[in-house]
Amino acid sequence: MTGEAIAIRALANEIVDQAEVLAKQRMNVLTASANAIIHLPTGPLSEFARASALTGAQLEAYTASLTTIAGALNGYAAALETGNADAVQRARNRFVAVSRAEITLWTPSIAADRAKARAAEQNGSVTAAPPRVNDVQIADVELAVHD
Amino acid sequence: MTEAPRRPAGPHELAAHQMVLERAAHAVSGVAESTATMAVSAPCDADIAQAIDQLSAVLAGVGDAVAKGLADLATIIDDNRSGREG
Repeated sequence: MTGEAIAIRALANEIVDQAEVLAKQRMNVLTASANAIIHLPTGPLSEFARASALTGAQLEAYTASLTTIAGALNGYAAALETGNADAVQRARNRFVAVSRAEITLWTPSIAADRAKARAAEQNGSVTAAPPRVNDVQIADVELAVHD
Repeated sequence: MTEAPRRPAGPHELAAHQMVLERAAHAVSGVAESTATMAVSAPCDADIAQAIDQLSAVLAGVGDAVAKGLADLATIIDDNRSGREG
């Protein structure tokens, strides 16, 4: 097995572990939110219900993204292990395509968070940490897919 | 049709739910930190490395947003607990 395959597998396993943490937390959140909703007064109820539904959905989608990425990485590692150049190329292209799709999927929501953070700063009511997304211009991302 | 009266909760009951949400926020924040440093620990294809780097940045941002959403839920509960206790 090549060093690259071992390293790719290690990263995939790490991502799977992270997805498992998220899946477990999602169950905890769903249970706690459902129980809290029963007990909250009607005033904050609608806000809490809306926010918990949104956050639960985001948590599920975040978990799904990590699982998809880990699967594509494992596929690439498996192809590397075969030593078959065509298989490696196909798996490599698949991973790059998956990456591009995931980045495209999440970029609008991250852009929205950036806009909210900027608006909060301008209003002098900074309540949230700035988004962690670095200076990479996500919208301009171009990943090469080689045939 | 009339709405069934909501069962009032004691502060301890809501506190338990708040704590679960706070722990979840902490755990998700930890995942976000891990994804922020994703990299392959060996020389690898340049496009693969680039894709992982970009995914790392995007997914860390997503994790931070989800963690904040969970923390906000905990805050809503806390605000209502404070009202009851006060």
